[in-house]
Amino acid sequence: MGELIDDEVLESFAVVAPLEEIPEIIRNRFGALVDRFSFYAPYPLEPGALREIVHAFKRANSAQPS
Amino acid sequence: MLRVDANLGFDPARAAEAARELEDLGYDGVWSAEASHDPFLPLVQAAASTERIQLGTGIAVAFARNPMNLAMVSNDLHSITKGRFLLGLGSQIKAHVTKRYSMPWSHPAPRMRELILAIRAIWASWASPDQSLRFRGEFYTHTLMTPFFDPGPNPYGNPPILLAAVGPRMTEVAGEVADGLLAHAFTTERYLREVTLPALERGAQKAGKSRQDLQVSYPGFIVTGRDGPEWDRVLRVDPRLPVGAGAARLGRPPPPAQLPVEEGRVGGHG
Repeated sequence: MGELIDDEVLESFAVVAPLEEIPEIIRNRFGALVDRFSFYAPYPLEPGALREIVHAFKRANSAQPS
Repeated sequence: MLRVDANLGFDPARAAEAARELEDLGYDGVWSAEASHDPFLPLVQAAASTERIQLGTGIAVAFARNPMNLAMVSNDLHSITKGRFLLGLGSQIKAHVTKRYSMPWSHPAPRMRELILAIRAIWASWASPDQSLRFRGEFYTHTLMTPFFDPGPNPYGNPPILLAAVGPRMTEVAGEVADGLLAHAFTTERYLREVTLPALERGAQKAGKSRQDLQVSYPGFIVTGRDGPEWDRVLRVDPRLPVGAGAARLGRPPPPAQLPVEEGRVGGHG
């Protein structure tokens, strides 16, 4: 079924990017719209990967308090 | 500031450990879910194993309960968590409320509005000895509160109420009587901009509030991984998930069709 979903639909519903780009993309797309973001990743992601994302958010928050 | 939250996971016996791990990872909040387990009990465990992180139900099925149950369990959890509790409520749908919970279903948005107002009336009656409980609504009536059943004021105040909503009417209710909104994971950025946030603001205006008085929690799908083992695992998830196209875009082959889902999940509001 994944093959039936093209990139445009996928990217409407999901943030699709390499790990290091995820925090920046989420902040750009949703930072002005929402106050809390939780990652909906219905597949296993290593704690190390999540730690990188969460820490990148924290760095961005402390750089731009708002 | 954009806060980052995680789901507590679905094993209540691991709640203490899971919450501590998530706090150590740096998350701002964790959400329990109500599916095959109770949403409130794991937060008692999580409260004891953490110090900083906020703990919320995402969501508890409001119409499976009554306002007094909800007022009491959330007042207690706010004490147990030392002021870190977030009461996330959702309506569920008619079939689940009537056939699984054997509870009444009608007028979901007005009923939810009244349920939240009733919870606030109950809390107000506990906060002040001079405030008697006289809540008479269309769906809920609470007119008895004697000292023996009154816990008194909560030193941490009342927990924020966040309401799960998708349609504009429930979203307006969130803006009017709740302290925020729990968006659904299927909410796109466009729907947020064009439907959700305008409805939330309409609701807020009815109560003389603004968007800044409300918090919006958004569970967003992410399709990601580093080169190597992470992407390989992403590619092995349930083929029903829309991962194939994204993986292809990122220059990886589409997932094999028949490999099983591996383990746990990091997720949004249940």
